[in-house]
Amino acid sequence: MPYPPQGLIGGEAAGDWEVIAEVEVEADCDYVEFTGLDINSDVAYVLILLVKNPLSVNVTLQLIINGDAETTNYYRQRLSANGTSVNASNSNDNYVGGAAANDVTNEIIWIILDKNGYTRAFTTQLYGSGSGLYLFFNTIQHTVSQTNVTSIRIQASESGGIGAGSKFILARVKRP
Amino acid sequence: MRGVVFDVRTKTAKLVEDDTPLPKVSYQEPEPIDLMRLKEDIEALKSEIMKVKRAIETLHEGYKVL
Repeated sequence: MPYPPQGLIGGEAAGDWEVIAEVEVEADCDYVEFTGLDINSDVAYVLILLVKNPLSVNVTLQLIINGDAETTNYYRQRLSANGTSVNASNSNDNYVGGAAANDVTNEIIWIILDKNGYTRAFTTQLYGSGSGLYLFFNTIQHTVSQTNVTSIRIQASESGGIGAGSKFILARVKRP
Repeated sequence: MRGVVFDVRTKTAKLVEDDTPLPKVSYQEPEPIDLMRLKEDIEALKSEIMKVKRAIETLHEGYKVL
């Protein structure tokens, strides 16, 4: 394989991704998980979330790497904007976003395993609607060193928080 | 919990249900702000403030007459 991979940085195939999984949720559920992954071979993942929150309460979504659901094993830097209001924070958690009550959220998450064995994710999220539309950027680092990423889970904070019709698309770097 | 697990090797999805509790979450995204409604509320508040201002002016004029 050429390095850097052509699908990731530069080259004629820059920006090319290969979809390896597509899940459309048939009934309200609490999480969607992708297993059987091998980031050492796949280099990087892009996860696209089109989530419908069917509940009358806000739902927070967590990113869980290799089954590690311990929230404090992750750090997150967040930047949000609505109108002229811009906020930033750093927190000891793995919250990649959320969906407002009875609303949708759309998000793209890039995932890599760095050279020290820490999974890192970068997210872009559109939250809310109309004049209540927010832009969220999150960077997340898993603080537990790993040799591979074999599973990725998106976990809702509320039971049934990922509604029927929600869609999850996972892609990896496309090989020449 | 109830979840969908998709194995990329076999390209199969399965529904998994067990008694595992939901992780505790202490953070929530903010409620989206409805700026149009906020503007309307501010306009209504301004209108009320003007009414109070006019009432004070009327009282003040009456006091001067006295």
